[in-house]
Amino acid sequence: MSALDRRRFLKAAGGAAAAAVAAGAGSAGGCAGQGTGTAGLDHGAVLALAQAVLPEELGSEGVAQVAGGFESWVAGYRPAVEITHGYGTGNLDYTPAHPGPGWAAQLEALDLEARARFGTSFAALTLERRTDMVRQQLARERVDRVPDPVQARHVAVGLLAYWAQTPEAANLCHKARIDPYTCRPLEEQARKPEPITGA
Amino acid sequence: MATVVESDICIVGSGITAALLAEKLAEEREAKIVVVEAGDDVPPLSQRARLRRRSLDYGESPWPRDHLDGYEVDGIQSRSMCVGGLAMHWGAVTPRFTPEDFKLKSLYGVGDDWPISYDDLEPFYQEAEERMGVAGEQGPPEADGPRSNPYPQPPLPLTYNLELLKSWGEKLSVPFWSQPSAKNSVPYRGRTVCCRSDTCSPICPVGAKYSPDFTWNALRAAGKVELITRTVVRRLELVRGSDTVSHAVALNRDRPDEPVEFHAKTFVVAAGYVWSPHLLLVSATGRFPSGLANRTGLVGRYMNGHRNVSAFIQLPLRLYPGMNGQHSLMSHQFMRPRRLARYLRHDLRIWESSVGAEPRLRDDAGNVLLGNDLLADWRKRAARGTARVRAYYDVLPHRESTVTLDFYRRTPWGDPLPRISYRDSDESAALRGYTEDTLKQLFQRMAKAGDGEVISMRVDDFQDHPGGGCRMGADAKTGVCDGFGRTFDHENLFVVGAPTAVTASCCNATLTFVALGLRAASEIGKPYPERPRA
Repeated sequence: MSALDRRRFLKAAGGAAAAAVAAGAGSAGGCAGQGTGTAGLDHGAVLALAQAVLPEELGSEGVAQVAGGFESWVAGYRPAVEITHGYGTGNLDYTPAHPGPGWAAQLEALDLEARARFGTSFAALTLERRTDMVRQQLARERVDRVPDPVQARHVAVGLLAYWAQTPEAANLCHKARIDPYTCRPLEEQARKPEPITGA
Repeated sequence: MATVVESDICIVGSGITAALLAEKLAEEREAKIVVVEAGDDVPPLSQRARLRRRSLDYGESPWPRDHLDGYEVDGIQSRSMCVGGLAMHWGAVTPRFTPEDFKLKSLYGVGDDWPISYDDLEPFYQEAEERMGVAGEQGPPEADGPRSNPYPQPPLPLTYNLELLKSWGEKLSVPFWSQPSAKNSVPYRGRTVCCRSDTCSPICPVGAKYSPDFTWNALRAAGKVELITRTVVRRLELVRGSDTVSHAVALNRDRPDEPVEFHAKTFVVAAGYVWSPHLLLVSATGRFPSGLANRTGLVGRYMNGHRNVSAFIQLPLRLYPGMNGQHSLMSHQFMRPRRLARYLRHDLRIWESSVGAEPRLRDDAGNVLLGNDLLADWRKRAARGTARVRAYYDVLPHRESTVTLDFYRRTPWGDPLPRISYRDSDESAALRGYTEDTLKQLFQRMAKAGDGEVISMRVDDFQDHPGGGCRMGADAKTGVCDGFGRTFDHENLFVVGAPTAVTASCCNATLTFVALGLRAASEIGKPYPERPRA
């Protein structure tokens, strides 16, 4: 099984909240200080984007948490680190180039476009307008499934990908406390996950 | 001037077979044991939660520096070369082979019989399970191999998802049960209980999964073995004018210009399916021009493994993927056929899956999905459950399924690298289409039985759980070594584990490799005084 196959296996076998970024902002906190020092993303811009592309059920606090977690994820990223190599492959692969600079430029471009078209910053636009702008940009992207965050070419996809792979996203989708990839009592796996309501 | 290290027993390699073999020898015999490992020590348990986090967040390897640069070979090969070997990132799935595996020729007229039977190996299966701490349950007798004693731990409980999938799977009258695994369902020998971190492969952050470093740590702490890392064994040398192995010639990677010699009474090659035959081949001498233990030309031949056919099946079941995705159901019913018009044996496993129910950025009409629309679409797709099913099937090896020396590619030290080239036996090649079609039809029937549909199917060409290259046999005409791993050509030279396997069966093979190693240990230890039982 190749390294990429191994990652695909984790996603396929493990559930919707596969591989990356388990515990939201908390998880990325564990990575602090390990990044390359690449300039982080503008917090206000990320938050404005997150409000535009994440589900309302997260609530404002949940949206802010995802935005913060995404920023920490970007800050903790290290390019050219050996990735997991699986059984049956002699190939060694490495993490790709840092996505942060490109995403930062896209956030800046969103803001410039907002100013050019509507005479105000992206963050100051209504949610509907922000969402429309992002939707127009993504309509030009060749995307279907939510990829691994690092494979996302657009910052909005990166943000959604980051969120979609958190345990909280899986719980929200299934309206149940599954908590994938977290340490949980073994004996409880025989029981149906407890239902949750809302964010 | 070479540095000389003296011992009674010198073990080359520190993977899972070597670890448990060394543990048994150290417990039972008064002998000085030296283990030589080319790779590095692995990060301790205390660092594994952090390494797992990086692996989950960014896909980084949780086992940095677990391989040697300059060891890229021609052919399919796993790269792990470190203390604990490939089993540092195994999934800890530990089924036994069934009795039929050891007598394929007698029962079905295909392949070769082993020189040992299931009954010969059974006590060592049990011992391997107890040393590792296997959690499992016995399947129905007609569908599971016999065992003399219960598993050392109760089975890992089925998840809510697997309970539903079990009911579905059994609609075709195929019994399924909890996959035996070397993961703790209860605290065991100082290691904690599994807490469903669900990253067993590649890394368990809590130590609930057995890995060989635990055994090495205990043996080293007790001073029962000397494990020397970063030291590459390059060849074995014979006593002049004799077939007895005298010493191993090695180099320390930190001081490659200063040779090291390991002198011992007994040598155990436990370097896995590639590097074991490679070491014998590269040790050719005037008396053994084709390599040690190779008078009849069988070293590096009959490399074996098993392929798989897998499918994702969507079912009208409300599943909650993510509960413990690496745990599975298994059945060995199809490994135990009585008679066959055409030979086909396979295992069968079922996992929960989220394939077909992942979030997506476009709907079927091509509209971009964001926010509430994305979540609503995701929920709609997740309302149906998905099962992943997979069957490993027997692939019988051709004599020309080989590891050979590649004189065009060399290690950093100038030795030829191995070249790996798998080949099915003529009978397996002829049966391949029938085999894979039959398995695909089985998956279609399973889907239909659950009112579901197959959403994808694939054949993995990679031969998993590889073994062979130093197969055991009844005599030198049929094997490199006997049923204890002792080479026919050199009385004090043993090969153990995966390379000695005659065939690969159709289920995960690591437990069998370890059991073979423990059986070998019972013979390897005989010349040495018994250690008083504590």
